[in-house]
Amino acid sequence: MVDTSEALAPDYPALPLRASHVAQRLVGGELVLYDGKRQRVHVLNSTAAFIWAECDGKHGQADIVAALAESYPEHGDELEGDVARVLGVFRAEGLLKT
Amino acid sequence: MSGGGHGLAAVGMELPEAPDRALAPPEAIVVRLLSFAARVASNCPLVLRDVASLYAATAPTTCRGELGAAPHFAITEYRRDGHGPYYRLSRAGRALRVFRTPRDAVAHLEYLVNAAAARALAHNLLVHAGVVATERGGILLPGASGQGKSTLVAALCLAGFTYFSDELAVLDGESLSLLPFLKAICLKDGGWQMLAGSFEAPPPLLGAVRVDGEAVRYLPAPNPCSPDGRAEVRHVVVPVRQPGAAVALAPCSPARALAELARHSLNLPRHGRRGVESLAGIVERASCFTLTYDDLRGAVGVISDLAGQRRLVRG
Repeated sequence: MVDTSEALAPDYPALPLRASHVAQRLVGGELVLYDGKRQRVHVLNSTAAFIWAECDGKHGQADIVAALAESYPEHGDELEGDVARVLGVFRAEGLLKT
Repeated sequence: MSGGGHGLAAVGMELPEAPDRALAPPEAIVVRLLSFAARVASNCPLVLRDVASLYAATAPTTCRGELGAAPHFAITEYRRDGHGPYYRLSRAGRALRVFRTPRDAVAHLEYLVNAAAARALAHNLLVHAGVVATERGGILLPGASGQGKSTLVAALCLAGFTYFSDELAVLDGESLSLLPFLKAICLKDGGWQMLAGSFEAPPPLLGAVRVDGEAVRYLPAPNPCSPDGRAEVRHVVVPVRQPGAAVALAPCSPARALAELARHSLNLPRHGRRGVESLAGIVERASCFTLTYDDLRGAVGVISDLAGQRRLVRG
């Protein structure tokens, strides 16, 4: 068997960037994303919304963890894993530019 | 499955038999759901009576002649080789299925008419939801099949709410007002037992077995909205029926309610970003809740209190 997973996986830039087909809107104080390509609606919690805002193509994962740590210093140990997981979800859902 | 002499299934068969002798010349009625119209013809008066009763809230009319480009359906009663009667359902002259009882044929026709109406009304935002209203506004009850929407809608209307639909919320593409989709309420057997055990429900218009094998009963729309009526969405209530659960109405954030409406929308891709904006506008103006329940009377009671509706049925 030849492992093709790496070859088939989309290539994401090191600095995550929001995909242009995703619209965002605040609804009742919560951030809602609309993926026009997959026709799906996502509701983000406050942490995910923070990470989403940082996905501007100028910040890497470490930058996002550091920025989040300023807001949530009490969660310092968990933030790295949280950011990686949320970015993974964004990628899996096709919300980030490849 | 009972076969008769021709291997016909109890509910319907895939390959229709060609009729060799229709029993009477056909007559026709026009069924209207908002701007949609369909012509339904049959040589069986019982069939036309049943179809008319399913759409009684829209006042079907007798149809003389053709109806332009509107869909044409027919149920033809016939005998074959001394067997029958059988009931052939066709659309635009093309045979679709043969049934052994007129009621099963009518049930499938009703499904086809509603589906055709939904396609024709797709310029509006369509959401899989029950809809009732009071003088103060409409209540959207989004949810997938099997969540008890139709039973809850029937119970609410028996308690004095105005009926808009048990299945399809039609949101006007411009004003986002709720428009009535006045089909008969379709209850599965379990829903009917639940309703009849808690409320004085009117006798069903007809009982049938759908082609998916589900036994259903059609209830006349109690307290229907006028066919040209409309209502603003005042509440979005997401019903979650859980066996044994106490009745609980919990606030739901507008964003979560938007996600529910989007999940149950039938045509959001057609409306795209503008449709999402419309749904966002609706949930921002409405109050949104999740209703967990098992007891139907209790559920009707809390929705009555929410809507400021005088309780006609004590829970």
